[in-house]
Amino acid sequence: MTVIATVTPVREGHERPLRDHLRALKRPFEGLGTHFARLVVIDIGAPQLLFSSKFDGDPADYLFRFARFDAALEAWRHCQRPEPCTAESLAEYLSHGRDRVDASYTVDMLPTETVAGINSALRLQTALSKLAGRSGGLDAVALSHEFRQLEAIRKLSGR
Amino acid sequence: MTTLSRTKRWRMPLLKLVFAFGRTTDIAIRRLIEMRTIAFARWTLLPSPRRPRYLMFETNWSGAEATYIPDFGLLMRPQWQWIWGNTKGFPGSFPTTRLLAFVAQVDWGCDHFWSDYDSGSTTEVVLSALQLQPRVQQFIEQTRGLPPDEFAVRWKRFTTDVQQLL
Repeated sequence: MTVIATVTPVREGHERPLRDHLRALKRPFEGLGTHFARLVVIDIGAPQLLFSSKFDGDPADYLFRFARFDAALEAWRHCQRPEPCTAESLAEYLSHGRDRVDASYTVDMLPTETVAGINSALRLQTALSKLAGRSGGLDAVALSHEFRQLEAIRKLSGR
Repeated sequence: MTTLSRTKRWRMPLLKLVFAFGRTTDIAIRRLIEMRTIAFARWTLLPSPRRPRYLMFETNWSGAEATYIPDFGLLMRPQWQWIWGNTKGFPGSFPTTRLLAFVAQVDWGCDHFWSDYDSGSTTEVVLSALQLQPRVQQFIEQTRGLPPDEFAVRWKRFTTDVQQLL
């Protein structure tokens, strides 16, 4: 589990186009194992792009996969760094660049669970809720059978 | 939510001390944890190209801002004061209408937000699902090989026991 954040100076006059670009983004983090990721144009005396993310897996791998998206590259091309902005330079910049910022204090309700583990628990909960909702109308044989046939239950039984 | 607040001159050491204390114990955030609405929150002191410095607060939570912020403000009044009392323009956490107005003023929102959690999953739902999983595992082990009639009896008892987690 890794949490990172960077605050990158935006090129002069690029604040509005960058914000428009971010608001129109189509799922650049999907499937990367992202708990939460945010991109916001902020102003701390000068406009900056805040990128923060909590994710599973190897940080270098995650950031490289993210940096390969054209949409990610386009976002940082509105910024002053990295220069030039390529997938490799962006991944390196997000990993080790001078604009990384560290939190002073963090509250994390899920410090150890992975995205896969959380989604697996959510699917189990949904499946059981649905079965519980209709179990009153099932006889004992059908109930027992349906419970054991639930995909989430079969996965859990196989552990 | 992504808020940015200008820190008061000379208050940085105090703010750093508050965060240093927070890192040693969860006593100050127990009520926040009990609320089960915040999934993640972080406070970062940002270096600024110009003085003063900024306190950035990022959080993801479930629920409506209009109810969550006042609840948070009322339950954790001293904590708000310890942190945002060191920033400019903070009106105090009570009355909550002023607090809501302050939050609206310093919140930059999110231009893009993503989570790979299954859609519609609130913090409360995620925490319940994670609590439910070991209970189900235990139920599977206890009912393995039972005849259907006995299984149905156990199922009814189980769903009653875990109904708050479903």
